[in-house]
Amino acid sequence: MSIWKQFRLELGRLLKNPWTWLIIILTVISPVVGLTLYRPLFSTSNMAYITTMTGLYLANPALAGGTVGAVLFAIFTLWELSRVKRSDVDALTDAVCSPMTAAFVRLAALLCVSIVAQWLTMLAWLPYTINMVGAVFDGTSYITVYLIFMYGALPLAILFAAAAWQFTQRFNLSMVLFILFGGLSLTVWGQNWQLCWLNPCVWAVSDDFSNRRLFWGVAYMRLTWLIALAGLWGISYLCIRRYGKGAVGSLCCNIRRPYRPLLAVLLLCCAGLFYVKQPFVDHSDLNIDFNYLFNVNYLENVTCSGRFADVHPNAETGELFGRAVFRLQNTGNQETEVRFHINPGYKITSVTANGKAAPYRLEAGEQLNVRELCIGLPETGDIELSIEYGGYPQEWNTQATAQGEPEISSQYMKLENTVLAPTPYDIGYAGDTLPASMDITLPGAMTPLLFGSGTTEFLKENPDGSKTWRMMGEGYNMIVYAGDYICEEIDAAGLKVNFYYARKHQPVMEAASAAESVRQVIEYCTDHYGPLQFYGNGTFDLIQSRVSGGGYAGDGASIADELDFTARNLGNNGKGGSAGEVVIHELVHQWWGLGNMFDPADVDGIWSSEGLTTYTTYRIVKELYGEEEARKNYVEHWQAEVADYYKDFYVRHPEYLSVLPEEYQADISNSLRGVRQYSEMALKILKAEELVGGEEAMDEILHNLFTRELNPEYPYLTYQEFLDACGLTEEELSLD
Amino acid sequence: MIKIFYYELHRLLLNKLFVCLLAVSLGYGWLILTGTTIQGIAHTAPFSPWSFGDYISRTLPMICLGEFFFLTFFTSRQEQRAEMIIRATPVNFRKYAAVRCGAVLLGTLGICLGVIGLALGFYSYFFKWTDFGSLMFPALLVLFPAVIFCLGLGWALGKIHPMLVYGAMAIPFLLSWLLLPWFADFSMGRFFSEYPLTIETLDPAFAISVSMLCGRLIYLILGILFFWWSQIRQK
Repeated sequence: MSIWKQFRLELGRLLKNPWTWLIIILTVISPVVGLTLYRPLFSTSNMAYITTMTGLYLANPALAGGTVGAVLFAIFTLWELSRVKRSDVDALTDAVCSPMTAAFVRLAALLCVSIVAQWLTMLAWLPYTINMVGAVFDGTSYITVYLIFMYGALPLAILFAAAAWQFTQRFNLSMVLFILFGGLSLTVWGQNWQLCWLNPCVWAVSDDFSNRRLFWGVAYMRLTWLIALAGLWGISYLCIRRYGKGAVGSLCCNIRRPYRPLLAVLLLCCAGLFYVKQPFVDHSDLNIDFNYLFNVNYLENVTCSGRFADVHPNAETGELFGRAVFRLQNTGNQETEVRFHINPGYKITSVTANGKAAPYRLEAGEQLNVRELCIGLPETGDIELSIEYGGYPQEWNTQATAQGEPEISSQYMKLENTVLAPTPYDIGYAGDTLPASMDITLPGAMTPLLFGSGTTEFLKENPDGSKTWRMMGEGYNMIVYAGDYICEEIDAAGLKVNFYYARKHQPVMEAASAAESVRQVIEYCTDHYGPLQFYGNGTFDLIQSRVSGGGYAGDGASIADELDFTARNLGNNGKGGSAGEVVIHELVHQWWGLGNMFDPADVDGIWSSEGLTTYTTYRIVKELYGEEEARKNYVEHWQAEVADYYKDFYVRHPEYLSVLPEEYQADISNSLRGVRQYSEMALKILKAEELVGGEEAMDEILHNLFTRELNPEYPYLTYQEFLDACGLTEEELSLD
Repeated sequence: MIKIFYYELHRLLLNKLFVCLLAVSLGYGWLILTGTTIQGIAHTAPFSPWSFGDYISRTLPMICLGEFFFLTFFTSRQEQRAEMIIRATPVNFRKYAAVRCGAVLLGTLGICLGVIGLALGFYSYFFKWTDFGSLMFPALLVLFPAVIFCLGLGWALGKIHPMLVYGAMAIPFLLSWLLLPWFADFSMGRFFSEYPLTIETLDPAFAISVSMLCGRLIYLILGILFFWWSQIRQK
């Protein structure tokens, strides 16, 4: 009997078996678990489950379906493979057809059944997902999510279960091995994005922009495991029992055809190579040393007077290539080595100084998602240093479980700092500022947005339909967002706010009057604390970004996460029927929290931008949504958090914290620091408000602090300055 | 019967399955200790009876899983076929069943001791804390009724159909996961993490309410009833 005929017979038999259809039906139903019981995506709120609509109604069900489906198919595989032995007819069937061929045929038939189950699942859930995801539903994402997040797990489970059976020939032992394999993924490997085969590290899925990097990351992980498990199955294939022999005896028989073990070993080696050479995440030192960035010894004899970059992100491949040109002055009359930072995923193709090749080397180590590029400068005074670079940008390994940036696709790009171009590390500016310009070539439909101060102008349209834009700014670093954005102009407190959001999201934004909320916040802060005077041209950009877990603010621009604008979040009446309070929080950071207001080196202290920002957010919510809402969601929340903090065992008994190994100390301290900065500080400011005579008096104090004369040597607002302005002491603000 | 008991125990303990289950339980326990217990439960010390109880309650489903796997040794189809021959011998079948259950209990006890020993080692190494006597009551309170319940349930289901034991493996997980009232909480996880918060004082001494104690007794009695029912049914 030919192998093809055997396969058809086996598949036909399986499809006529009611147990097969039970497994298929359970697999089809399994995504329902992701709607209620198992929601692996991160929620940005403690009060309700908040994630994107695609995350809520597509990614969570698909991930749950993958986990449940994998368990179901593993059991089904073991059940089917043990059937012959269970019925004690293995000697008979082995006489009819080779057990080697039968094993192969059974595996193929089981894989086909899993494909049937997957397609039926996708068909069954399509109408529900379209209905629930609403305006942001995307058919391509639907298929991709189900195929990668859900189906990716099924063949892995089948292969592992089949391999376990072929090794052990025991149902219960194989089950234990599968539980161990699945359990490892759910626990020990859960925070290792390359190992968690069953529950991939998916932090959030974007509604409005693309998810290419995330999809590729998960697909890569599943492919690595597929190759590894195919290799494992290949090894177990050699242990298929023959001629009444045990595992070792059968192995000796089966190994006689050398291509079998060779192929299995080759697959295992390939998987190892895939694991080691993954292109997505860097290998930065995990002992993070921020002093490396803040305490730089600048070269005395080398300065930089200008910077230009010509950047070409490739929307098809996700790579970026470019050329950066720096105008340097070497006044030391000797050859000098200068250091640059580049993204660890990039390679250098050429370095020239005044048109001649310059010696360079890439340092082996990586730190804080950068790699050092050392270049030997000639002794010539004025040097035009040109660096050609490119490759697939890598993410910082500390963010490996929440991958998604830097995204480079035809729908969305987020390109920050060293992802755009190398930046000098130990070279100071020749003047007070550094003029910088950049040409960036993007797909024709994309609108580029330069974060912070600077200008963007359209330069030219290229024959391939792409467009080149010129951006003018200052300094070594730039941050560029690009996507199918529309801009809504809002006049608020004499400031022109450009509110950029995804075109796909327009109906949701308009229905929720999100622009009106933005206007209210800006008017409140301007009225109470003073105008944002340091934005020379009187404009301010608010940019909706791809889901990233929060926003940030700086130099005339704020980034608001798309999570704040999901239809579910905007329609949450518990928040006063207006845009998410995270948006308010991030907008308030324009007043409290730019880099020049709080000392960035003071990362351990309680005094940070978050205390004042949280307090102001509370005041705005109080004004917009009423005292009851603000008290319940802010003051009571802070009080509960702070009460918990003071009751914490390690706060009461720090001697026990100090005896723990450093890694555990750091984990515990980090978990407590957030409470101090966000809740304890906000509560202290609230207490200060009472002591100075109420809200108006506190507004006056904060207004004066915001508009104070800055000391250029140390421009930061300190806790002592705040206490002095209130006429209070630290002891008076004690919450004991 | 002693010889049979040793034989069954030998079958269970000197087995790849036991080694695997012990390794899984210890690995899982270590993750809980270093990820959750180390933080201290309900503002109490990581080595308080509350935190230790929480740790045991989190490992309980894994321990029960192991117990069900041990039961598959005695409820499989092959065992049922062998039973026909054993019945032909002059052995007292009730005693024989009790001996087998004793072996399962001892195997499960091995896993429990491994999990408890891991926590005690963790406490003495990380916190130099060795007053272990106070931890025995919460451990007994969680483990004893749950292990007896699973033994009775698994034995009874296995006698109906061998595959039902595999289905029963989901029960400890479901019972621990569902938000049942405290007294019915199979693993007592919510009791350990929430009850100390209801007591006004910090670091409260370990105490248990009567309803909670009744809940544990019910699980214990249910386990015994399941076993008794399976014996009657078999007769």
